[in-house]
Amino acid sequence: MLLSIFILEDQVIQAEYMKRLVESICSEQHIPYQFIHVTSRPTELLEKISQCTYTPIYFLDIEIKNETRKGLEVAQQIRKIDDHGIIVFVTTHTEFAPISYQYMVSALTFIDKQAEQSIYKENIALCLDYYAKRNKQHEVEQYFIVENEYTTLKVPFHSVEYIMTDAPHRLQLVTTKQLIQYYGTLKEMEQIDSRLIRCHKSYLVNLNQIKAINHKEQCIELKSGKYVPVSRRLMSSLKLKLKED
Amino acid sequence: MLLFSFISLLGIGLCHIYLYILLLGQRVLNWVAITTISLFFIITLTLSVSLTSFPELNFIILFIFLLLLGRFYKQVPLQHNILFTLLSITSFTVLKNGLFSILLMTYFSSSASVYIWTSHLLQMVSVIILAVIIYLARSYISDIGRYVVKSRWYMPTYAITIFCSLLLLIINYPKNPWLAGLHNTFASTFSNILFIATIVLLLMLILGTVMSKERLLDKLEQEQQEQLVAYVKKLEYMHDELITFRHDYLNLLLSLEHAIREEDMEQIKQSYYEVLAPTGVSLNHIQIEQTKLSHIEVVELKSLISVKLLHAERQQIEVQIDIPQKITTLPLPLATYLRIASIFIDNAIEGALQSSRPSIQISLFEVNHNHYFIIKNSLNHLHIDLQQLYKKDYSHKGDSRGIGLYSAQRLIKKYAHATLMTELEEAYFKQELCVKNN
Repeated sequence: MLLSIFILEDQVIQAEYMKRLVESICSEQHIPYQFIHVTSRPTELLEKISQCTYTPIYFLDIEIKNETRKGLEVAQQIRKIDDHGIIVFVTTHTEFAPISYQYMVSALTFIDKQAEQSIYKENIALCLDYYAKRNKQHEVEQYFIVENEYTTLKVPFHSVEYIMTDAPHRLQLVTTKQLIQYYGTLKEMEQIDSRLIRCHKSYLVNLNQIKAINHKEQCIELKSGKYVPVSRRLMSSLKLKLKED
Repeated sequence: MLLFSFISLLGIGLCHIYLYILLLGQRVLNWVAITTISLFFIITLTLSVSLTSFPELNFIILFIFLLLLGRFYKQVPLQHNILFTLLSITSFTVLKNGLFSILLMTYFSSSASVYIWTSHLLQMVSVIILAVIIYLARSYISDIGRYVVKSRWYMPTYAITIFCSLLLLIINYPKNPWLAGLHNTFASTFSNILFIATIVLLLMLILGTVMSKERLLDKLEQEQQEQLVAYVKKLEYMHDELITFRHDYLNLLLSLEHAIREEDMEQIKQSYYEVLAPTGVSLNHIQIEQTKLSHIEVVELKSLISVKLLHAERQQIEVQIDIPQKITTLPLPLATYLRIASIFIDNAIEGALQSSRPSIQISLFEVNHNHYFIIKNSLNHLHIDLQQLYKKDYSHKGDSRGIGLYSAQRLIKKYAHATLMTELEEAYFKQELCVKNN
């Protein structure tokens, strides 16, 4: 399983620097790659996509040749040909990197190229690691996906802590660092993933986030320290399901 | 027969209470609570009237009861409360009696056979019909309650309502000797007058509501117009500044060129630094961001964000605007969208101010039929409970000013296609509103 890596960067020194970092990460993590193609010309990159055997990963500099939006346009053209490849934007000011870019072409993230070397390398490594894993594992397992006429959600499953009802037909999905409020019912959510357990009339909890069950206080303690109530009725079935793992 | 009476009685109690609550503006109702309250009330009423045999008590107890209910349910000024109570009692009673009379007459004039229980049945039917009508017209009735208190017809409406209430008291076979005397003399005339007065009252209510609504709408439009004018003025000012800047800049470049031709290093250095210094002052970063708002073609939203940007600028917050495409329509009703955006931006500004390097970013765009409004601000507080944030009185500023996010959440909850994602990372706080269009 060979990876195809593209780097679009118009400053030669920056480009070589990135290429060297990618090579060293790949050898350290034992990630085999087909090629690392470095270029400053978008057309060249687009032509080479067809020669890839596997879905590629693209590191695109947003500000190519002093045109701030060129990176985004290249990304959009890439998306026309390749719908699944991972796009990573490389830029000088990540706190101000336009969020819209990320959403418009489903880019993975932004990397700050002016960051200190160890941080820069770590960020690139995270992207490559994600890329390698994704090609092996099914997306369905990795993500909690809600797709219906009212909402589209895609959250890494390991970060989902619990879902609770907030009002009739309104749910709150709590993850390790987010709160998502949307339209739906717990019944529908239950059916999306079997690792979500109904521990209370108004709560669904992620099995993998449970740290301990407090029988006396009728609640579950999660790994993050949050608490989720358990109803008496569902306590026994909850314990059973836990034992099954 | 008893059954019909019982149902009528229950229905009457329920309707009085329901009508009253609608006028108060409570739309989401707990049916169980209302039914139990009605039952309790009817029992109390029946007991007191049969024990004391003062039919006046019907009216008085109902009046006091509803008034107390109102204080318990919502904080409305006492004078409005009294108006609503009297209004609901008189209008319902008169309409019910009117409807009952009509049904009775039609029934008698038809060839259907009459039984002992016919009138009870017809009473029940009229109550049910009125109940259904009230239910169907519930949003109009709520509107009346809301707008009539602000309309110019308030005083006349109040006067007529009191007048009708007095007439009703006299007509309903009172036992008190003075009232009974009035009843004997004037009962039938009063009935007719009452009927007409109620119709006049209803007309006044409807007119008052409609006119009041229009007046308020006009005021809103005028405010928006003023905001727009302010925005355009600001734009013109910025444009003039830009022209001046360009002019100065070109001049400085010319002197730089001159120095280069002369190969005078000192001169070159001096001109270069002279260019840098004024650039930092006259072309403000914030003003560049303001021009990015031109992509928003919904004028009200553009002026709202523009005003907020000025707030931020005055408080030295770095702002970045990210609006890549033209925005021509909004996926939620305008007032709702503006209110939510306003709350989020205010919140972001307050949050950013507490961080070491205050900055906010506003993104607005559409992808795959999904409309995104995202606002991100720099942050200092690491320990925010995201769920608590939306509770009514929560505020990490310490005092009880936390109603903004709660209101925003309430608005968003009304729309099934709206999803709100709140994210908290070490250095920033992000609010993402996504509305799915199909």
